[in-house]
Amino acid sequence: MTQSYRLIKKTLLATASVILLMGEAYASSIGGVIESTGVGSLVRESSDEVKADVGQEIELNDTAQTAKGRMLIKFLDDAELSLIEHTKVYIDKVYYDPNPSKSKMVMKMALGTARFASGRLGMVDKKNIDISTPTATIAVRGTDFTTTVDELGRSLVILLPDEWGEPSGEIIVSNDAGSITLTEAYAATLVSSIATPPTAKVVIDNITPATIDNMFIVNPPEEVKQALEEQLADEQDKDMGALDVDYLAFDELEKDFSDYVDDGVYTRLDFDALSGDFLTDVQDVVEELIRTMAELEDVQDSQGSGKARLVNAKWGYNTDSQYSVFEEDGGIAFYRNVNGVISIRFLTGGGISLFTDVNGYKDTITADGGEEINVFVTQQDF
Amino acid sequence: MNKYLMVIASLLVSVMAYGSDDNEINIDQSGDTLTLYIDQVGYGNKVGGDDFTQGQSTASSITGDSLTFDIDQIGNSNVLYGTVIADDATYNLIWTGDSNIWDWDIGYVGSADSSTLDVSVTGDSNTMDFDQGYVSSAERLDLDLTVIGSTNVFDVDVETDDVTFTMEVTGDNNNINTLQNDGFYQTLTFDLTGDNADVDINQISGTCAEATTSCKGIITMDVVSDDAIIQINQKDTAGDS
Repeated sequence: MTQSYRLIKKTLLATASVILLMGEAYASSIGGVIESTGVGSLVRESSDEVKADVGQEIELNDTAQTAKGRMLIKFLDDAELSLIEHTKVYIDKVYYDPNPSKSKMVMKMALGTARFASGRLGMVDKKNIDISTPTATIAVRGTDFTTTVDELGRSLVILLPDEWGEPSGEIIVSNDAGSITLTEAYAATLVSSIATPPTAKVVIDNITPATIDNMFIVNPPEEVKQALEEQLADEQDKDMGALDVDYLAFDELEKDFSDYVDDGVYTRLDFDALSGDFLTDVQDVVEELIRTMAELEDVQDSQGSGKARLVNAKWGYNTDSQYSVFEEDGGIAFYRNVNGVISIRFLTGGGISLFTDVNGYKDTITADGGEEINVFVTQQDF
Repeated sequence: MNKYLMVIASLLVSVMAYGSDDNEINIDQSGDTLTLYIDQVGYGNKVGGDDFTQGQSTASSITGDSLTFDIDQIGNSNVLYGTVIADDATYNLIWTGDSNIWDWDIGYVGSADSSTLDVSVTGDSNTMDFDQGYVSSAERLDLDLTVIGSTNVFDVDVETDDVTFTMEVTGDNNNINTLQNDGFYQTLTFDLTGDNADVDINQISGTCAEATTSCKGIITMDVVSDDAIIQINQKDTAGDS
């Protein structure tokens, strides 16, 4: 009896120790927030929500989310995950083993625009990095890409260049219906649903990482729109031609009545006046309204006291000068990646004049009246 | 320690003092694996290749591979003239004081691959003329330059492939001129804090390396200033602005 009691006691103690150790392991940090602006938070597995301040540790099963804010997370292997406004990412499995082939990194991009750059420390084999969206999975053979996911789960994936403008590697975007491999800088594909294959690969011109935001899926770049239209046209064409009909597959005589009850052919008999999903339409309208309101809010912000007044440029990407103009660290940033990268941030509020003389564009952009700081950018002979 | 002593013994160094203000070091050195430590404290310290009796000197001459420099000049009106031909060299140079002059060539002739420079200047009215590469073939330069002070004049010419150049300048009325020429993989990261700066940045991509499809330069600047003139010039052919 005493022996049995001791055995039970030992077993209970051992079990309790294992549980405690597991708890310790699971609660341990796998990275941290290194940049944070505006409103953002981390929702723990316990449903506790903590503010995403700089220095805040990232734990397993955290959900990182932003409202009107941005966040940059760095993991222990130097992998980086950045979230722009209105973005949500679920950090599922991230664990590091001394053997990189046993390490694992799994994340789900749930909503908004997130950028993922795999770690440079080689602590996780890239085949063990699994990034997914509601409609696609992304196999990482490269290092740097963005995903933009809307409320319907549609996912736009863009492979980014490295600092030299070269492709950062290769990523494979796939779902149940097919897959596509992206190998070029700014190569992109759009996945509309889990049952629809990714669109054909397109390369988007005249963008930079800084210009990729949630609007990219609400109003996709022209190249993506065209790929989507071609995909829709292809799908509609499937049953149009006589060559598409397989007469050898005719087996109608083998069917009985029950086979026709739910055959997908919509007739008058199938009509149910009460079955209309009106809510879907209303929901779409509401979502569109929310998006429009958010856009209007941004416009109001840019015209309010918060932002500098620009002349000959607008906030965001400018098609004429090919500058992207945005706020960063309390200042104004100009970014241009054409025949060389010019990236200038003005971190004080003085007037700025940016004279630019490059192939195809010559003009002066001013902020807040200009002429306190004068910058002359020339590019020649390209 | 023995290695250090052997290195010092292999130097042809003469140290001459001209009055209480001037410490003068003349260097003419050749050989690999040199480790050179110089700490000069005071007014009018000089390092060159010849005596400064006429107020001028030839540059000190140092040739060899796998060299390490650790030179501190603390005080005003210090002078460092130098010519180095070396691969795999590391330079840690510190000036603290005003009206110092640094004229330093690395690989003006010969080779100058794999150079790492960490230069820190704290003071006003300093003059710096730094050249790396020039007509010689040079690859891989990591140059960090930190300047804290006003009215400094810096001219940095780099003719080297694969350059990472980081510069932080804090102070007013500084005049900075940089040239990255005839090479691929040119990056410049420049933080400027101060008013009335006059900055010229020239980044001229040369021929792309074999099997390289792009050799675009990258210029990244942070500017905290109420009044500055900044000229940025990117070209794909030779020539300074």
